Amino acid sequence: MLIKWLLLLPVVLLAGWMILAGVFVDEASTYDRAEQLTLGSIGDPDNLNPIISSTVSAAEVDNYAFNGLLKYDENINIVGDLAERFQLTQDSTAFFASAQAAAVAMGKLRAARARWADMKLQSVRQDDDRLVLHFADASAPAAGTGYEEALLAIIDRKALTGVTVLTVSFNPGSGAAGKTADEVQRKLTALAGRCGVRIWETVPIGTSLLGVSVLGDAAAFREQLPAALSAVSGEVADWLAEALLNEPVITFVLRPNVRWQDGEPLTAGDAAFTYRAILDPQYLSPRGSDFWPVKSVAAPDERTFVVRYRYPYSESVSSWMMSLLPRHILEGRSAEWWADHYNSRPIGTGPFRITEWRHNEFIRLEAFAGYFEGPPNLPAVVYRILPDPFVNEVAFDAREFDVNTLLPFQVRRYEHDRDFEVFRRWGLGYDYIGWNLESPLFADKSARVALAHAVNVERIIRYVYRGYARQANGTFPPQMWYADKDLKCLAYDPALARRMLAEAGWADRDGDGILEKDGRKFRFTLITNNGNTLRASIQMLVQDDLKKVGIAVDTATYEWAVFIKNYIDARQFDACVLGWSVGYSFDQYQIWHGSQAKPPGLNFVSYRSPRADELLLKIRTTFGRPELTELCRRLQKVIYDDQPYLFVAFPETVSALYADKYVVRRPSGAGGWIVEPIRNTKMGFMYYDRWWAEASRHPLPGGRRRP
Amino acid sequence: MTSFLLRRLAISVVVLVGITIISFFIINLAPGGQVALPGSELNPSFTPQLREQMRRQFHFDEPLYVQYVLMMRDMFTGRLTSFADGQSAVGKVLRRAPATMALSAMAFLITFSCSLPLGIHAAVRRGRWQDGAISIASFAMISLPSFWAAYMLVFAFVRLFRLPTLGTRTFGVVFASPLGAFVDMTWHVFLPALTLALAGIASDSRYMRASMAEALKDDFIRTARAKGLSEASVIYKHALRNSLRPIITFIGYQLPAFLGGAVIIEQVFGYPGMGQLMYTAMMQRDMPVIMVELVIGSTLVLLGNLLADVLYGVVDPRVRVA
Repeated sequence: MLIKWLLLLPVVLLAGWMILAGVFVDEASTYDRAEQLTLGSIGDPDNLNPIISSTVSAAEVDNYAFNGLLKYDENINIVGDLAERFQLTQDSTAFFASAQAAAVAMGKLRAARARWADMKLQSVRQDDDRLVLHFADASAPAAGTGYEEALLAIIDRKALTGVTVLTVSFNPGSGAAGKTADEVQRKLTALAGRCGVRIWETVPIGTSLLGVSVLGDAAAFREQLPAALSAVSGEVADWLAEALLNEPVITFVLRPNVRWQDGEPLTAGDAAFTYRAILDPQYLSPRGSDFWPVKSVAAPDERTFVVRYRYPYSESVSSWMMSLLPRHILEGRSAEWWADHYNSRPIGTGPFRITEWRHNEFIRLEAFAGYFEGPPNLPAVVYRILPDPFVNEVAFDAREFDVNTLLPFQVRRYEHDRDFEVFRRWGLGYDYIGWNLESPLFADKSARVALAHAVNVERIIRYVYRGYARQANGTFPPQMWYADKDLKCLAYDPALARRMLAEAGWADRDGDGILEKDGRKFRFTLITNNGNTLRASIQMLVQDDLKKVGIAVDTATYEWAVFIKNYIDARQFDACVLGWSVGYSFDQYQIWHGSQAKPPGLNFVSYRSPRADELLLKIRTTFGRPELTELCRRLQKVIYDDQPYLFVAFPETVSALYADKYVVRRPSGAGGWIVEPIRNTKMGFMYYDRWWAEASRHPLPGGRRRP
Repeated sequence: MTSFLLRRLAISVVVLVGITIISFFIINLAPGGQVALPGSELNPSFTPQLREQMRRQFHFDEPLYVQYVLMMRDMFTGRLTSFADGQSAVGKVLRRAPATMALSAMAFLITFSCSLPLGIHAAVRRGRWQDGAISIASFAMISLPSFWAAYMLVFAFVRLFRLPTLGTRTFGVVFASPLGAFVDMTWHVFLPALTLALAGIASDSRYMRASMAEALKDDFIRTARAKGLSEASVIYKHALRNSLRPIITFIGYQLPAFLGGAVIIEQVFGYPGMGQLMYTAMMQRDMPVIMVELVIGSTLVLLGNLLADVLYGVVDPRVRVA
């Protein structure tokens, strides 16, 4: 019957078409795919504008397309990128009670001229009741180092009027509720008058912050400040009391002949513009807080960029690894214009130019021939965004991309396969269990140490991380220069844990297997966010370990936003499993400082340690590697001893690369080329602009050979 | 007919407004509250000052009904921007629309063309092993979770046949002719559409079977056989026509259903359609994009229902829409 065949026709046609299409797709191929580097990524970037983006995938893509003034080399040292060289100097002002006292101090300094070279002191000038000192090296007189001590020994600390530098935030909102910087300044000046201190200088930062320096004994001022600020919905963001007003100055000299990817030359004005854009509230840049300590920037000529700080801020140099934005395109444009015309296809100075971004599909970058270090060897780099770890693995096996970051359970298979090269390096974060220190169970330090002894971290590393991690011994990643990688971890010792708990008064009096003390059972809920199997596994193993020493653990998982809002930010939890991705920075003030314990600060375990607070502040204001290393190691030990967290593990980052395709090819300087295999560094794969596809001997996608 | 249509359209608009109001309030009152950029809460760069600014920019400090009015106003004046990246929300959704339309069309085609013959075959051979086999297969297909089926298909096609499966086009390949690109695109639409269609085939074939079996039991079929008409004619000319009525209405309802069912499947296949955008927007709590998708999706559902009702009147002369 005709209708019967008509009904079957669509099915037959569809099936036939699909088989033919499959065959066609299978056969089709070009060499483009062979030449371009394809990387896989699970997440779509939020935004490709480097000052606005906050996702890891955006940072990876921007790495190819942008440069900052500085960058890390493969040993995590800071070197110049767009800056040919840079210099860190410092101008310090010493305040005295009178011009006479200043003259006396000036005399003393002149007499001690032989010691100036040690302190890197270059010049001193008297200005009424002040002395202005210029240091050629800013690591010299920073607070807490030997040099400042030497200087103060000469001048006589008691003759100085102390300086306090603080940052005040206020509500700049529109209407009656909002205030301007001027109004806040007037309030502060009035308060200063009442407290007998003098406001030396105020610097507006963005639209909602004011940097203030105050002379004199600021104790009373500090006490009354919160009350005065409450009228403008403000608070003190940071506070630094010093003997001198130290203003570090970084001077960058840019490389000549650097061009933006649209051909325009790079100038120091671009750096100044980037700084202003970061602080401009309309662009909502999360990088703003890195630049709060900046007092002013200047571009005296096309190649010189000078940044002056309000106080010594140890991360000031590394903050200039921030990618620069092109002023000639973006200045004066609204945030909407940026979103529509720039943020999806930005222009930078890097070796590859972003040419196409199809959301949740791929980002395509093409080689920029005018790159200042020479054109890249590869014609294109593509970031493929794959939605799902399972699909990711399947696609990687089908050679749909070249490099893949592996999850712990995938690694062994690739390690044993000769088609792949597996690269391992330490990651930049750690996983931990945070104890709510406000809870009576965890307020006692010996209980926390006992818990650390009771948990078998080795077992967790073996079965959850499959061995691709090491036990965490504190809050700094082990490969960083400031970390104490040899600090001994608390050993797994359940017998010791039981003894310690018994000594603290915990005993199982009713025979139910759970310890009690003062009528309270040692029972708590361990929570984490859902969707993370690693954290769920840690929950289970910890629950099992603690049961063996008589502690009952209940577990729960919550959706992320609920988890954060109702439990973490509200401080309504007993213990949580979480992780930090700390990056290369040693400044962990926000995680550990006592002032950050109240919501919405990140010190959600409510850790309050005066010793740690002191170290955290010193770390923020100390330059100089040896000093910083010492301070960081001390901080690591203080925190680890206190066990506000059970530090679980530092995971490794493992990547797999198809072994036969890429090498690094660099100019040898003598007109030839050096060809070397891809190496893994502490920073991961580097020199992507130098990667080269050895066109002669790689297979085509799908396993077919070139004819 | 015209007055019927006009009345229905007016009611649809009211329903649409009601949907947006209810959805807006439910989503914003969800636990976790209004979040500017989920995932950034534990990011130290997001200082309290920055969060304040973001809250103000996204109008989170206004009461909910004011936010609703502002959002609707912005949506219809084209100024609505996504919380996630500041691009036009309507633009974002519409850019994804062609891919989803292609996916829905292909899924519909597969469903329709496969379920009719299967249902008819099962009804004609009811009680025999063919009927049982098709029933078992249908129940299996309905029971299998669609995302699992998606994974299995990806696995099979990549591992066994070494064919590309993800996205809308074969990655990294440039086709010489537009025809080649078109064929490639149909191939990439096929697998997700097949996954989407599985549940549809199973349920539609059951409906077809039931409807057909009902029709075959009727008196006029006995009359037709008694008159000596061929079996094929009896089934395909007489019984089929009468059993198509319920199927036509299902068509109208199923078109928008493909839109919703595509969310997880698009995610697995990396297929950049509206479903994947909805999923991402929900994870990011990106209200503008969610609302735009809801408006568009609800409009399609309402139009689909309207179409089904009109078709019903067309197909069955006994039913007159008034």
